[in-house]
Amino acid sequence: MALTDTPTIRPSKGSLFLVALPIIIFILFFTQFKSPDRPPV
Amino acid sequence: MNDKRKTQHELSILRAIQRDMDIITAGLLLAGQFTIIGIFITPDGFALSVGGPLSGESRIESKNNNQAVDATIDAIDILLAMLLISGKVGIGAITVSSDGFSFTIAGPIFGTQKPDPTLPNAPKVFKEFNTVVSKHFDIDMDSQKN
Repeated sequence: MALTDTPTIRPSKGSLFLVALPIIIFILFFTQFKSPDRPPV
Repeated sequence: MNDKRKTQHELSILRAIQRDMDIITAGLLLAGQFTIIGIFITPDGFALSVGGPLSGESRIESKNNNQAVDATIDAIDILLAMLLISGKVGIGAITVSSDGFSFTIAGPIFGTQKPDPTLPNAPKVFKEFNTVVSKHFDIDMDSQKN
């Protein structure tokens, strides 16, 4: 039995919204691009 | 029948390439070379974008060196890698920008479709192409030699 044989979870629209919203807020307000990764202009 | 077997073989090759891309991306996420860098919202759900210096993109980090935020980024990356390895999500698209490119991870767990390899009517198209080319475009190879 492979890992991919296990049943897939299909969340509802509401659940997806509750998962996506914190990620959007997290990326938008709490993170920035890592400065050493930015190529020199 | 032979065409059908050939198509199945080609589909299995495409499926293996997709799986390799998933595993390599998961490895890069676990190695810290890739991080989550964005999110795409679609009518069905969402898809997460990952990238890093290897793909020409910048990784993300916390503002003001906040350890909790860095740990959250690591946790999201590890979770994504686990989902990629288990096959629940897959590389759905590649977004090209001026700096480089990023991989978009999609799957039913995010409400979006996991891409499945397809070759619609490939044998029929190839057969028709060969028929047309051989019938109307008979190239005299001797005239091509210098």
